Amino acid sequence: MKNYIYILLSILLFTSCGDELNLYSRSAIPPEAVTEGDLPALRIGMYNFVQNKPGVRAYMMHDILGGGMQTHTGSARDLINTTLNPLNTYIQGGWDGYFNALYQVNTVIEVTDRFSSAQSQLIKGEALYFRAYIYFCLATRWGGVPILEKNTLEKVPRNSLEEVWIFIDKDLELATELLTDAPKSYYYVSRDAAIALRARVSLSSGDYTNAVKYAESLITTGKYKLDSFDKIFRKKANTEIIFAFENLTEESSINISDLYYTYDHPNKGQGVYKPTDAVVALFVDEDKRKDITLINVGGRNLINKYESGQTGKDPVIISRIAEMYLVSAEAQGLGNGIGRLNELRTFRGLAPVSAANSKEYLDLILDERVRELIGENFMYHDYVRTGVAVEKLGILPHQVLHPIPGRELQNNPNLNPNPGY
Amino acid sequence: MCRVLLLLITFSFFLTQLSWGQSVSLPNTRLTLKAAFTEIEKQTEMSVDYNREIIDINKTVSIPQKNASLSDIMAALLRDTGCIYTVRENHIIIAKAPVAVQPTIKKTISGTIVDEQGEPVIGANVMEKGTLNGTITDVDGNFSFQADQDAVLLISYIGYLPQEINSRGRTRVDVVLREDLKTLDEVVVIGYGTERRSLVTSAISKLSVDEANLRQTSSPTQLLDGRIAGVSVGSGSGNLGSGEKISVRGMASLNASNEPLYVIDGIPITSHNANLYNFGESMSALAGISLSDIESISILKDAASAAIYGSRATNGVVVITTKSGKQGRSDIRVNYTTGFSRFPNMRKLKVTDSETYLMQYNEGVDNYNKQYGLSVGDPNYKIYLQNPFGNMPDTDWMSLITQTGKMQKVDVSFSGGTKQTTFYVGADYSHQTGIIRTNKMEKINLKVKISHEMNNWLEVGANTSANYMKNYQVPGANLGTTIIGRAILQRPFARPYKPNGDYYVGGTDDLRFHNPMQILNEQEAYIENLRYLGTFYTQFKFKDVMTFKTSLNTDILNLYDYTYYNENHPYGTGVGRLLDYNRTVTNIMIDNVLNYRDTFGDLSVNGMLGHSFQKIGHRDINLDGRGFPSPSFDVIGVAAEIAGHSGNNVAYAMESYFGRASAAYKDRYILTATLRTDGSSKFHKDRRWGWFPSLSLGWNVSEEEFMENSDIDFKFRVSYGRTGNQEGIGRYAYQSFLSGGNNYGNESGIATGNSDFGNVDVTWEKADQYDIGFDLSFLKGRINTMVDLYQKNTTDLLYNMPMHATSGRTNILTNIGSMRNRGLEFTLNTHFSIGKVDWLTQFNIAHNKNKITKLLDHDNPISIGGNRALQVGKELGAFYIFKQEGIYQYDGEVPAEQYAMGVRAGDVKWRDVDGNGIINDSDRVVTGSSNPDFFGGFNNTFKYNDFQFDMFFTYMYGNNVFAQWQNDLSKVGHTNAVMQRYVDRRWTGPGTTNKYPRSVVGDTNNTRNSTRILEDGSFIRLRSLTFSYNMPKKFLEEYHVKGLRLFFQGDNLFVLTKYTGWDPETNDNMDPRFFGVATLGVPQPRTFSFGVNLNF
Repeated sequence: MKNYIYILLSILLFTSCGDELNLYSRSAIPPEAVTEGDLPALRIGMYNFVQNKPGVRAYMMHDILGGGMQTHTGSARDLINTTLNPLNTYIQGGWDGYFNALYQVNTVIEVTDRFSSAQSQLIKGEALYFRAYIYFCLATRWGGVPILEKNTLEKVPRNSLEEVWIFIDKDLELATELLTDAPKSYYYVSRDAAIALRARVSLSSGDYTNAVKYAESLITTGKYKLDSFDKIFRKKANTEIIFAFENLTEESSINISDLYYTYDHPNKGQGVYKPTDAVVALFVDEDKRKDITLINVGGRNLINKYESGQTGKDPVIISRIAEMYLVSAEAQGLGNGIGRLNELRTFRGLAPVSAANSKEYLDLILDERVRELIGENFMYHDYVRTGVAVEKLGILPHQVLHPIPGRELQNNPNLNPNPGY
Repeated sequence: MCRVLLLLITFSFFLTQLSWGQSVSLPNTRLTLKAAFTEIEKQTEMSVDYNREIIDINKTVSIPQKNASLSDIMAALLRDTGCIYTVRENHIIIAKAPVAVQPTIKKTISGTIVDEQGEPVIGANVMEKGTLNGTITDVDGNFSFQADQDAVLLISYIGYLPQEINSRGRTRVDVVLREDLKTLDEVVVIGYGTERRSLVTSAISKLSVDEANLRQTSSPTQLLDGRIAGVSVGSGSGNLGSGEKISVRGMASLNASNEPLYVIDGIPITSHNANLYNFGESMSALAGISLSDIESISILKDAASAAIYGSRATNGVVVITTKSGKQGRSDIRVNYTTGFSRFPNMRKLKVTDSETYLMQYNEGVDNYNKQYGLSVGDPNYKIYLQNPFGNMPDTDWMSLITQTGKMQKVDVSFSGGTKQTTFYVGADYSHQTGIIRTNKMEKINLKVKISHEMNNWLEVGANTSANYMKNYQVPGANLGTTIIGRAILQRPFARPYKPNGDYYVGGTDDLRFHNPMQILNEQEAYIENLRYLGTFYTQFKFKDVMTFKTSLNTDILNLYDYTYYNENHPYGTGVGRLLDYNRTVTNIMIDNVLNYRDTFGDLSVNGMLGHSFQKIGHRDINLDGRGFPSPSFDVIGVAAEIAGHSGNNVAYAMESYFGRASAAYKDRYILTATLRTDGSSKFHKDRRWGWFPSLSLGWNVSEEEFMENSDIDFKFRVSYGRTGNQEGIGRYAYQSFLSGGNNYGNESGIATGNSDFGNVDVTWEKADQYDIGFDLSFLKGRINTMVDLYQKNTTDLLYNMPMHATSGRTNILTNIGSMRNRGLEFTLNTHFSIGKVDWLTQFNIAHNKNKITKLLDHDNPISIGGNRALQVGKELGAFYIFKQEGIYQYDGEVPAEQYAMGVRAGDVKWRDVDGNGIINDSDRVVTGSSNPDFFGGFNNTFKYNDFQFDMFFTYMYGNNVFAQWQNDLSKVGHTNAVMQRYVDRRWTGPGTTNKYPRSVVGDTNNTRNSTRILEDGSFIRLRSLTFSYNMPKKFLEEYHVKGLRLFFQGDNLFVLTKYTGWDPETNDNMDPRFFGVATLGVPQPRTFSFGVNLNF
């Protein structure tokens, strides 16, 4: 009798399966296992995250708020009022996404600092570019945001906008040194991409001298020339693009076209946003950009720069040479700048213009920026940085900045909200 | 898999090596019988079994020699005792030596045993009192055997009161057995075993599924709706196989899984959404299981009963027991049911006609232009809307998408058994169409259950079922093509088809939303589930007191989700798109359980020890193919392009040791203790093991001597137990990762996503539960009550704690805080006769109060989702929304900040909590609750001769429903349809209303997640009404039919509620944090069914 019990107890007690409880993922590795050999994969992961994490509306936010877009149900101003709300999903999604992407970028910078190989330094250059790019996106939305040189769990307070501009410039300066002139394609960050971003940042931060310097350095190298919209926006070889996200269908969650095309377009789309009549009116028939920029489907004008609809995804251009023409034209002012403006206009099939004063000149520049860059995420920031947003968009003074998401304020008491929200 | 199997094989060999004939050496030639027996047991490893009434073991005996063979020793020992012995297996059994008696004259007694309905009782025991002489009744209830002239017959059968009948002077004895109304002695399923009800010291409720309470639901858990106190069944929608949520004693966890653990015939199954691609609603994990095979469903409610399942038991355990064959019977059952279902109260949501629609819209245009001072030509100037279709009649969109659902179901079962073997073979087929066009479901269930006693120490058995389900889905409320949303929200003048028969395409000026006809006609979406449940076991029995059972349990699930949008569907990308998703879930478990049960005089003891190892693997392959030549090509191989793919292979495992000990003295005082420890691969190895003890005490007051002559049964119970939870968290939650698949430019990349931040400190969520209750039955069992009072304290709540996004993540899995559920349950069952009518009632009511007692380091509300918050001191289920304070009657009342945003007289005045003039996120208040104050069910059964009438109500009181759908249907001056009510009552000038806003286009103020759409969801529902007729025996005998029952059942016949939507019980989200939100989901249908139950 007792023997049975011993046997049974021994069965129960010695049948341990403890080792079977150590289970690990088969699609991931722990971070401490990263070697230099993993750097290329880490770099690709960084490209993926910076491209995807901010979400599709982050690539459209300056258009959504730029007065040139409306929904089916409301006017441009209604759209702005609905969007600029601390509870708005897209405002929060952008904030969360940029910081999630920044986490990868900072991780890559940390890892590259452990190795000194040429490859590692090149990757560091790309990472610094992305960090500058992310901070530019953050600064043009929320103003002064916390500067994170390293990843941290601390509840960080905000830095001033001035500090952010300096931080961006420092990253871009180092990036320019580390990056190469000849990446695999314009879907990868090059030294020129860093210069183009630096030109844009300089314009935004009011450093017109440098804005002209960087923009002109790219216009005059001869590497980039104005090209037709059909090539730029239809994935054909072109001389325009300096840097774009490749945004391959399988790798991306960014489908801009889907939000512009409607279901009666053959490629289908949700058609959430459409250009206002005022935007459509800016395009005359001679304008060579018109057919690629706009398409009329079922009596309604839609943005046509992204062609895939729900059938796939399209590249997202970050920098192209036409922007440099406009940066240079604006930064140089009416006197010297109008030449670059008219160069661009002429190439696009329009007659040269002239302006009587700088106010008129600014209007010409801003209108030209709409014609050239609508759908490429510029307009709201253009109006804000030139100080005409309240007047042009009919918004309230505090609406020149986005609200800090309510969720973030709740989780970090050290963050101050933007006034008015 | 482990060493378990190997050891078992060794063990089996050992058993066969036991030997019987051997010599014994006693210490002395003079010793007591007791000492001698003990020595024999020690040396032979056999047991000496005796009864103190027939042998005095303290008697000292002398034997000739110390060393002899076992048989010689035994003979010597028993010489003068008047006893003999026999050896059976490893038992030496001592019995009284036969005495030569006067042969008595025997007679043959025969008779028939029937129950109160006159049905034969098959397999009833008929014994001659004081002997082992007896027999059992045959299939017609007849018996016949030889007995003494003066024999007293003892007649007994489970569930009936035993009877003693003196047969003196009779050869025929016909008996009517009366049902034992005391339910106290039913057998109750407890974890890893069963127990008599009178010895159960914890809160276990049981629903025996029978013809009368069976409803035509798609999943077995829905049968529990309203049947058991403290168990609430929430439903997703009225679509076939839609998801459900069972909550047992409130919600005790924050993370997604608040589901109880489901155990089917001893297998803890995986409770997995039936769909892989979210088609707008969650789908029931259990819809594939056959209803007709179920014998009973038990709910282990308190921790004392559930703790034996340790982890995963915090939210209760649902134990489903399927039917088995019965000894001495041979049954063939055939059931056929058919019926139809309708969309209930479709016109309750009344939208305006075209004329009213245009009137209110254009009024909104006027108001907009006026308030911004706009005139024709201004960029933001709004223009009037005209009916583009002139005088054509309005479209009745709801009628276009709905249909009458039809249902057919047939099942056949064969069951029976002998003393050694029992078996059950069942097959089940059903076909059903839903109340939305194209919704249909098909199910096939096959089952075989067999057990066989090879000899008196070895039993083997198998229990397998194969389940198949194919469900053609319609888009649920959370999908862009939400079928009701795309119908009822269309403007009344809009039309589905152009004059040439083409579809009007949604999202255009012609049609505001996706064309619902295009959605239904141009898609094919179905889920196909194959589920194999199988248990194979061997059970060794020792000396009738101990069993050792080893079983291999498998739950293999193959899920296939097919969603084809052809080129004409809005989501068809113009070229056709097919989402082809596959998943295999393998849930394999090995159990070893040792059970011991014995009686020592008045003390009965019961012990159990067990070990279990379970591993659950998921393997996925998902493809997104695009480009099909035409709609008739609809398999993935044809796709021109694979636009997306994903696949993974993951697993988690759990190992457990568990035990239970219980002792009962005279069935009067009962003590039960359990202990379980679980190790889960989801936690870091230093935090892996959780300990889950329980202790319960019972006092059967009615067994006390002073209650001897009373007809009251009273049992008092008190228990404590601890359970755990690890569900709803990632399999590798403690590990941090760089995950693959983050690719760019066709190169493979790795990165850290939000879910990849590990937390090695994460450990088990625990719940301590206290229960005090009593079972009381009086008037000879005519009135039964069960009362329980409980408190459940959850600590170390597992939760994805929200983080500041600057950390790179937005949340981190952690043990966040504590929560308390406190409640009271009351069940009342009665059984009375009014003349010839039998009247039975079952009534239950439960109250539960949830409270979050600790969260982070602060007590501010933590906003989750769009309308909820977690806050210390408030309940899980509270809403976090804006509060309407009225309607601004004059422009002058509007604060400047809001005036600047376009708010004017006639707009909603929101409570400005922080008083800064701006309405923003900090102005939301925590208010209301989706949890009811009390809920339950009430069933009435009336029986008259062969007729039976059942009327079953369910009810809930004090719960709020957040009517999200109203945000769409209440907007006056908007581009979608609007309900008549909101137009009729809208603000049109100062003093007209303080509740309903004005019409204005482009409104951004009036439609918020707010108290405006928070409604009282209390209701009483006539859940089912069943009328049945049993054909009298005498008609059937001739055709060799044992029983024939005809029935009619109406389900969901009416709902009494103040709620303005269709159904207060449809839910947008089954997640406990977001439960109680209603979108435009399909309400539960009203169903009428007819059927026949045939028994051969």
